Amino acid sequence: MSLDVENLYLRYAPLVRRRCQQLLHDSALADDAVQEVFVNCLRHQDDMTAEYPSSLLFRIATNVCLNVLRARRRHPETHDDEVLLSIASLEDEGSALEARSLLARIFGKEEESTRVMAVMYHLDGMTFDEVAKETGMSISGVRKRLLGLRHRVQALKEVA
Amino acid sequence: MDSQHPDWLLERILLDEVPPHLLERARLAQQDPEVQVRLETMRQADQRFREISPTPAFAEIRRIAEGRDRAEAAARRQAHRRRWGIGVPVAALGLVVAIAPWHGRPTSSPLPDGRTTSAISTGAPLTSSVSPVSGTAKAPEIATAAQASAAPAEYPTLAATESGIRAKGDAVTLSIHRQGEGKAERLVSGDTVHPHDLLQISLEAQQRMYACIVSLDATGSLTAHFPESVGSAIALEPGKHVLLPHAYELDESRGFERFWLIWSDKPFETAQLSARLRALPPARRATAILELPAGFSQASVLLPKAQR
Repeated sequence: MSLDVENLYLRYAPLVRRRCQQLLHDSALADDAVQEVFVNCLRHQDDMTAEYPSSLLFRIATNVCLNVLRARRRHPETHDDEVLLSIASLEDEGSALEARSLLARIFGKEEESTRVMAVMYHLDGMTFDEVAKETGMSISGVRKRLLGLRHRVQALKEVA
Repeated sequence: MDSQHPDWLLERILLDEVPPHLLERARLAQQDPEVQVRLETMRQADQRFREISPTPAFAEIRRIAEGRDRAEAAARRQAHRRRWGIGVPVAALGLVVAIAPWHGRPTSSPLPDGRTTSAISTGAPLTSSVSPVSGTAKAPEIATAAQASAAPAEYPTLAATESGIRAKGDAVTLSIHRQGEGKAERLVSGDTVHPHDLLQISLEAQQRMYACIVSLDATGSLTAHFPESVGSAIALEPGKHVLLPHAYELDESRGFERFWLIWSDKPFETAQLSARLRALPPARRATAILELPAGFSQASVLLPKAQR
């Protein structure tokens, strides 16, 4: 059964706003991103199902923010910014997958974006197991997907 | 970020959506007095959000989503017609292909003056939506502005802000507001406008660039807004909000009004742009994307017109 997006907004918009502010460090951009998250939810609401809507919206918000960051190419101000921007600028595995809608992955039609998983792991401090449970993937699958990104992001962490 | 008790965990606790595998971690977190303070701060923020009546904000979100759906559906219909050779004569397509590079000798022919830009000072800023497509240096592009806004991974995305619609991925924000009774209403793609509506256009660039804005209606009548006559594109300074000096009053013509924003990081003349827009066959005026030299970007907003 699809979710009622208006009820989602009323209940979860603050969470989404905090997440966007955390990643973007810019109130105006965060407001834009919140709007974009729920516009996308409305446009895909027939595909939306979630046992834990907070988890779903958290990942959609992360994805929207990564797109914003990638588009803006701003100069990083903090180390976490640097890590986040490096993740945002990375291509996901597989050009064919990248060519499809990232949102489709989140809405369950494709596997989760590697970039979103990378943010969960490197910035949110989730374990492989927690990322796997959040995204519905196997731990080995998560580990494999992140392997390609790990060295580059880790190198950035060590520099700071 | 608190790595021991991260924000995402507290959000789950606050919403009572802690999955089984996080229950123990959540229980431990809640024993930390600092976590209790953070949770209380979040609760208060949530309460403030609910007190400011979020319903109008969601109505705006719904309007934007519906606008994109309509624009995407129109684009699909247009693509279908093209696929089956309906609506776009081959000769017309050939004409577009044959258009010379834009940077040519400027012409001095004036714009058709089917309407005038009313010299009406505006109070509150008025609003609208853009569908940006950047760098179309290839053959005539089939994708439409609407498709651009519907494909978040491949094209810049759009988001409405308090001041307008930002073309994410391109460093410029174009806003069109309709002046209503005592308030300015933000317009998004697909919003219906009416004869004599007053539209206020504004824009803001995040980097130095040159831009022009023109509009084309269903009858082929072209109006220059920025600059207000054929000439050189206007330089925009980063972060400086530009409110066009005059509101624009829509005339009685039927069909639609489509606003185009063209920008580049180098100076350019608008005459060739006007010529290209005038050359668009009627069937493509609502959906065509201009073939532009590399280094140019374009955005457009389509506002269907209806009689009151």
